[in-house]
Amino acid sequence: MAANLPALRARWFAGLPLGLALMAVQSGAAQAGPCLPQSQPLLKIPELVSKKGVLRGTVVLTDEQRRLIFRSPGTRPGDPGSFFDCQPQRVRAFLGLEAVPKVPPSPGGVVDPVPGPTLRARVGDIVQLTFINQIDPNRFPYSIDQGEKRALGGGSGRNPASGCDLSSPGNPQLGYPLLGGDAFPDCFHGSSTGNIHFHGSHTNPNGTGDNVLLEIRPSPRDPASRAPLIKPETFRKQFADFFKACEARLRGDVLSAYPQTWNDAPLGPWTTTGTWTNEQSKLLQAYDARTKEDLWGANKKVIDQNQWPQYYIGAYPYCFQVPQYKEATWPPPPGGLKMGQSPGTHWYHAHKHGSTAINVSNGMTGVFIIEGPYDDALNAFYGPGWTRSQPVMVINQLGVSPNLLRQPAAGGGPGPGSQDKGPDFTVNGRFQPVVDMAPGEVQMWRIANTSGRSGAFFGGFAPGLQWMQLAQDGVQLADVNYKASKNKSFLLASGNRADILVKAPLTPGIYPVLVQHEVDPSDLPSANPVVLLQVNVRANVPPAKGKRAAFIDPAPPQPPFLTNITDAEVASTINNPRVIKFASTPPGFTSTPAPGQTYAMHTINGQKFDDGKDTAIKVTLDAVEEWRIENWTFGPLISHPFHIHINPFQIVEVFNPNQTVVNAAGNTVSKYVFYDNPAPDPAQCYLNPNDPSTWKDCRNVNDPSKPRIWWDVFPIPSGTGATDAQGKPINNAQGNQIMVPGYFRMRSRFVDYAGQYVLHCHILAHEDRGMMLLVQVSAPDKKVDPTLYRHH
Amino acid sequence: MPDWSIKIEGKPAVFTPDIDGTKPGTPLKVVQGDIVSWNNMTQQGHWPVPDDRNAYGSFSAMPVDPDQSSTAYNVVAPAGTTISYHCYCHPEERGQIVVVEFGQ
Repeated sequence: MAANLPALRARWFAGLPLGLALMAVQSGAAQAGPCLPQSQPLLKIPELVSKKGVLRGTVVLTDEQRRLIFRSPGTRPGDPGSFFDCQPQRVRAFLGLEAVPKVPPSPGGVVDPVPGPTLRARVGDIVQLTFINQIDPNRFPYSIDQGEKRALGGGSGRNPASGCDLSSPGNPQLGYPLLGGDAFPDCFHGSSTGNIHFHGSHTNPNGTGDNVLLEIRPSPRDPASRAPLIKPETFRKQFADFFKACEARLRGDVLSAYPQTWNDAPLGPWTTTGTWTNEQSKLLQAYDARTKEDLWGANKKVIDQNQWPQYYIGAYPYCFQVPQYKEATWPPPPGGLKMGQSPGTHWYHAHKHGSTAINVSNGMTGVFIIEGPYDDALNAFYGPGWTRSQPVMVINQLGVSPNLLRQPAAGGGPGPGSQDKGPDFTVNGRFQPVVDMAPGEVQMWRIANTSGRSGAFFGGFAPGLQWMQLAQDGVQLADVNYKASKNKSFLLASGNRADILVKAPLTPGIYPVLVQHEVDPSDLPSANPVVLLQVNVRANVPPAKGKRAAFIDPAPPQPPFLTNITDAEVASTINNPRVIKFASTPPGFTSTPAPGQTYAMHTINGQKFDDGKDTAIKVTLDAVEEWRIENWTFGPLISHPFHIHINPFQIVEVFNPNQTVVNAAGNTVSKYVFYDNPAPDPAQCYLNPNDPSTWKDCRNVNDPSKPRIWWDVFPIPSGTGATDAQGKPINNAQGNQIMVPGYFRMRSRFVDYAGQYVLHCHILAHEDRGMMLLVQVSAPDKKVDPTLYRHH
Repeated sequence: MPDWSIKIEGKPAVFTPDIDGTKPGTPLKVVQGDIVSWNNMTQQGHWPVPDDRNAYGSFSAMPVDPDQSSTAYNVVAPAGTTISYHCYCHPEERGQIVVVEFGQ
């Protein structure tokens, strides 16, 4: 335990459950100096801030040596006996060239992790980011995309493992992916290829917008110096001309899908020497000649159909608008924006299929703050510029290769080097950092759980700390929900965000904020509370007074487009919703690993992503629909965090067949039983195992008069097997246990932007391994790419 | 657990952990479960193989081409083990992986 922890915290810890303790951070690591001491001040992340309506900057994807913390043994976070070690690790990282303030190296010149630059724009702004990929792929295990090579046929095409990352303990039959059973493209691969997903953005999903189907390969390098040949200045002129044209288009038409083809000036025409698309065609052909791949061939087919291609080398210009809803009421008059971007805390991360897990774990995440009237209202209450002075918190589970690349244990389950529930959380790259507050002060914390795996269950703020939630997933809460959130525990699943107002107690001291790692609610009874961060209520500053010590009341008014989605809007889909089934099969390891045994497989509607079948969800632009998102995962229990791009959604029912309730006698019992009708306890509900129409939340209250919360990530409750009063399986006519999925029903408006995007599980190793699905939003009156993107 | 890259540099080649400030030829320290790969920065192919392949198998199924990296080798040997290796193409080029306890 760090020596500088005040006694106050030690006293508070004394009253907590067993197993809760700060764990020792080892010094004297094998190849590094000691870890950065605990209790560092919360790091101020460098920011790129929009000016005059444009967020302009350069994001460089590079490889850097950073000091990472590892936990041993690989049991759960917070387990007694765990301790930490720090090692210099080469990671893939986003750098914001123009972002300020710069973060100096730690003592000794060591570089500790820093999230990607915080992007700060305002509704209505244009985003113009130059993305440069300068990763040196050779500093990592061989992970070059091979899909196109597979498409050429030959030997590699016959091997389902070809194209996947390979990891072997000396015998490929005992390594990944042969042992795990993954096949390209739904396997770990291509971690030197980059792109950016602007998570929470409501914008153009195509071309240079929030387009996650892009694959931007690293810059070629000088053979002698190894320096990347494509630099931020390489295409500066072409990109500057494009950004100017893009801004003009978007100012003229917020719904513009420009650019749509490689012939659109000034990025094209691709046949004209000197244009960026022309330069890309040359770079791709040179890349193919060097690597024997066929990126140019794949692009050319798409270009010939006047569509936007998928592959790029070294540089890419992102240009899109953060649309501002300007009407005072909703619905709007015909012809304009139907929704607009919600101002709030959004984020961005690497989203290359096959490498999202490792890239996000390396730290390729950052916060995207979109300001608007929400901020204006807060600043009017708390003082000018207040929101910009408030803490931004990027939670991540920093690490390197996923567990599956390490051999499982001889008896099955995680092997040496694996970490149950993943690495411990860090905040802004620091372990258990300290947030300074004045006594009684109210701060606004913008928290993003950018981890690729665990949810953070906030169930343990130290006594004395109070909080109220202002926003969920970057979307403001209505006042009634804001008020109901006071001091309530909450979960931030992987990908969730929350804006919370936190009020410090008047007594100076250290107050920890505790979380539990959770991928399913069933984890919580045994999950150790661990310290996420610490609040230092300072003794040497005067207490906050007036509004700086008060929770704003009422909450800032919501934009008018955040009205509840009504029954009338979703019309027939209430009784006939689209049903989307997430499912994980249990691991096939039952004994000593051997060929043919598999890790868990993750599918949606029985398919893995991009497996050659047209499984896309097809929606017509401006449709408003109700969907039922089911979880057919029965063990180990995993509440897959459902995420869909571009449009947020509202929840109208959650059915968790594993839910427990507290009965009148104070005992915790299952909410649902499959025997005795009526159920034996008034707190319980009976589900008829032979009648799926009864498998629903028996006490669901969908009160249309109460404003619902908007989400863009929501965990799908796990399923269960029906059992009788003795706990024995209830079987169907075929003799198999009746399995009951968990689900939620959601509603969303598929408005403003047509095109292709994805929905997926936000446990990113699941996404990489296939738990992703295309969503195609078509518009009869708009020219939108109708074809499915393919990996190759 | 950590991932490591070992640079293959020079002629004859020297194996050096890709850690800032590490002297050429320094053995790589790992713990059980770590992942190791080799980054061939030379103009020749190299193929690192354990001296004792019966004990440690193959690091990679094929040689590491110039300007390429190898696939990942997952260290499963316990602490206290020293895995000596050499280049199959150039046996005089030698290196070591030392497996230590976590935190050592």
